[in-house]
Amino acid sequence: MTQQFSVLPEMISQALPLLPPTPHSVVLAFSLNRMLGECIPPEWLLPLQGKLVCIQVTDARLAFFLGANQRGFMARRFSQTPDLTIGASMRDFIQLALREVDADSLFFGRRLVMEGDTDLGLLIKNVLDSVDASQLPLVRWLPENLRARIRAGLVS
Amino acid sequence: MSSTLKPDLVCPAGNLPALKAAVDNGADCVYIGFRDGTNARNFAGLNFDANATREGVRYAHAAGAKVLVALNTYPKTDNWQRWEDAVDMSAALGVDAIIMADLGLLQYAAEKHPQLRRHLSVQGSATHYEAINFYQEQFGISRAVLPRVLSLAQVEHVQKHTSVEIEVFGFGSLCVMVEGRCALSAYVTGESPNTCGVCSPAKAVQWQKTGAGLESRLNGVLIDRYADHENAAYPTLCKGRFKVGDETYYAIEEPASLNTLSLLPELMRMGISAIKIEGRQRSTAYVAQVTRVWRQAIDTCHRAPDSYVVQGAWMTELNKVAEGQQHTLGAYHRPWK
Repeated sequence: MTQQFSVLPEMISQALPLLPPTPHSVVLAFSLNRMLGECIPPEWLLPLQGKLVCIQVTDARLAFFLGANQRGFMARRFSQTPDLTIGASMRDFIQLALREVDADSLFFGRRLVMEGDTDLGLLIKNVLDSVDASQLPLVRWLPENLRARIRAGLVS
Repeated sequence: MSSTLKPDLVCPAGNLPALKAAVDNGADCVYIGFRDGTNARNFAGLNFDANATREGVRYAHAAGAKVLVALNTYPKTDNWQRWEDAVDMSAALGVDAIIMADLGLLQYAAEKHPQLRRHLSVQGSATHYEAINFYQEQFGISRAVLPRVLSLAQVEHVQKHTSVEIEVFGFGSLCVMVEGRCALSAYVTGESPNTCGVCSPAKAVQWQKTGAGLESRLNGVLIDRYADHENAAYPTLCKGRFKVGDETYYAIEEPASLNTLSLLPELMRMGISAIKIEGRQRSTAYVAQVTRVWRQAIDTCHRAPDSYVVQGAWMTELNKVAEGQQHTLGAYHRPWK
């Protein structure tokens, strides 16, 4: 999973951590905070503070770098040595976010790869899993019958 | 409509969305645990605090479903209070039953909250009716969950000789099936499911991609190495591949999922009271999928047990979420018994 970064010329890979967080990491952190904000008590993310998580969308060759502070998720700079790397295809990440698939099933099937701090990986999975999708700010405005179907895992 | 007892479908939930998905998809009971080592799925970020439990109970009761709380690990002298508090909290939050294994805790619950139903956990490891009847006499248990070591004939033998409701496992990951007596994982981590609520504490787990394949290690001990085409499994010591003599293989147990859909008519004929789905550590999608299939199967079998057949679509759904390469009937199917 990390090979695609280790082939960068040394000069470039040394310079990358000096650059500000990439725009897509900033957008992801912003979106997560915006969407999940009040559904995740900030203390749940305490173990993420000072840690660096790399989310790799393998088929899109995209990598997001995230951490957390007191206010929620935050974008971090590029690093070759994240504490945790989670990798999957774009389709699988989307299905995970929509709760159409179970993370463990993807993991058994080798479609979801996790390397590094397993405790941190499990915590992130469990924190995201415990968000009640029907209570998300965007979803709260949907009609009750559609919210009921979201809860039941029938639509996403 | 058949006159046989329709068993309760008992589904797992590691968080509120999973509980709601279980209820919405037809679970009769949902079993949960609190956010500490008082239950055997003690993982970071998993499980219920008081608020989530209160909301879960409200949601389930509104739909006519029940909430059971697993308090099924074994306290020690220096941390007994935490288990006692968990029993009191369960009673205060209005759950429908607590699932326990420890004798002292059963005694405490029976004395302090006699009105709160008590179930004997699979961790209690009661494999014969004498033990189950003893728990009934001493602690007034209403239900016992049978360990996954019994053949179908042995399950029936137990069922015939007790008035305690019998609950059996129907689906999910298997363990080496010495529930309540297993200390194997403590050999490499110092923590066992019975005392700390977890077989493979995540802090001791390492996954690493190497030239030889994807390796899982538990406290540095190599548990398995997967080639690219192989399914991965939970990194527990019992499911590792080890070199024994000249051969490297699953020396203790092969990772596989229990699936007893085909045994439903037989289980219902015996009068089994409840069928349990494993997997409080799994996400909402798993709970929704598995609950939906089992609801259909139990209803179909209850309507017409004689013409019941396992539908291909059910197996396809369940195969998607299985651990390991295969499904098994586990110990239930031992034709020599």
